[in-house]
Amino acid sequence: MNKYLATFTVHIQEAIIYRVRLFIWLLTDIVWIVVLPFVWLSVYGDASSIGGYDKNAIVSYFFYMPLVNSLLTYYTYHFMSYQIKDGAVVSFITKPIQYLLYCSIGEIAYRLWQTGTVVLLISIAYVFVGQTIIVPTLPENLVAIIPIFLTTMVMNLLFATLIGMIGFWTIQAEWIFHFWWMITTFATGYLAPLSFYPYWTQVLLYYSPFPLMMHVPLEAILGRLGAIEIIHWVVVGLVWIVILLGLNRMIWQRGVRRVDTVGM
Amino acid sequence: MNQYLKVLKAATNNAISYLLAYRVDALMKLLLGLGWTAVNLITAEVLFLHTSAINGWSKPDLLALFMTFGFATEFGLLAGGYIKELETNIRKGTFDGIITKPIDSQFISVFGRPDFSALMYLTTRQIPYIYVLWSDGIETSVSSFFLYLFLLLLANIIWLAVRVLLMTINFWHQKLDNLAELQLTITEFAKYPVGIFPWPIQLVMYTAIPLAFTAFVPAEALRGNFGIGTALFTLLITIIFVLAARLLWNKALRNYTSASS
Repeated sequence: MNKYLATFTVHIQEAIIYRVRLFIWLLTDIVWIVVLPFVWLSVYGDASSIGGYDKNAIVSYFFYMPLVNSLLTYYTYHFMSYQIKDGAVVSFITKPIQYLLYCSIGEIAYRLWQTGTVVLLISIAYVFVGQTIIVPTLPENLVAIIPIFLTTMVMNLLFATLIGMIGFWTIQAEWIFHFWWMITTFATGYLAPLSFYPYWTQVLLYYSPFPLMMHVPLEAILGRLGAIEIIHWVVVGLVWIVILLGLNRMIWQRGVRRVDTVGM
Repeated sequence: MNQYLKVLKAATNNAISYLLAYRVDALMKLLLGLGWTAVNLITAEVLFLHTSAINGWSKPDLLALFMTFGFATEFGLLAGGYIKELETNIRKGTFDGIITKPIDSQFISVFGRPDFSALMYLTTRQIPYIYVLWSDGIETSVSSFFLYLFLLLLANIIWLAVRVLLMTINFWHQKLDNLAELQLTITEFAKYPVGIFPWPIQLVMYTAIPLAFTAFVPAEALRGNFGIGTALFTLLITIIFVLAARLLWNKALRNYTSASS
């Protein structure tokens, strides 16, 4: 247990050392999100509501998006594919440490540090746009936020490690990451709440894991999820977690067999 | 001058060889271009499910803006192979190999290693737009079209100048290997009509961070809304940013100390 705690601490320390770099990554993660509320407000025009969202709700949706993005979106696959390509993964195979857990803990540490900065930034933004923002009612909304966030966190980490292991098969994994971003940009609710999409798309996405990655956590913050919906999404998340755990295990065992190394 | 042309010719030959050596890479870029355009087309479809115009821009207008955005940003990626790796080159000391060559270091950093796979990406990224716009029959005049081409050229130069300005910061700060990504992200503001943003953001987009000139201004010219005055103002902005990139680079070089032996 101590070694994973040490992993967590080391990654926090690394994030602190390169503060400017971290801040630029933070900006890179959130700046493009800032564009979208302006686009949608322009689309609203005189309309009071689209897809069940009034203007305050849509601004709030994008207001909390950087928070959900920093806490629940993981890019572990970059680090993993680099380490696999570089051969650094070998040193983990021979150590009494679970590599996928090591990567996940490192990512969580980095993300928690980044989330702290995001909270600070959106608190400053709140001073300017606070009158239009829907504030979560606590503790009522926590009934939705806690289970949804925990499910999403585990599921997204498992997706990230699974994608990272593509590095065992190709050194040009960047393309696969791009295709993953394309799908998630559209299907998770980055562009808009999914109720803005054509009905058939919403039906198609209802049983997929994608809404859980962004749309559902945002709806949980905004207090828009009923008890049935919370149960539905937690169950969908848990089913995907079981599938992903199996896939991670299987792919890791096969991937490790492909590692060739020379020297120390 | 002859020396610079020779370097450009050699760099082009190298880039072609590289492209042929990494064929799968190039093929993937073709698919990637198609994929991102699909995402943008879906975005436009979702937006126009709920409105007929965004700040006075119809769907074909917005697609023309997306297309212009692609041209203005992707040509910049065609050049600048070394400039993208400037951070690593400075940190590891390999920048010495550039600075000690008997040729302008900024020139070699920007044009010394073109990436032709970006051209492949650009092709598949733009063809769907051109097809859709052609089918929808976007209305423009011959003079507007030529003004559009001129402004597009300036947009590329501005975008590249901003990239150089940003990357030059690496001479003073270590480990800022994500500045190029930051530029790409901030450029997202240029993908939509400038009029949708509040006036302070618009002001920034026309001055300090010249995003308005990246796609909006050329696309407005294509719609026939801008004339020669805009072209002259854009030219002035281009000159200012190219000069700024040059001056900052020279200042940075004076601060550069080698990290290698």
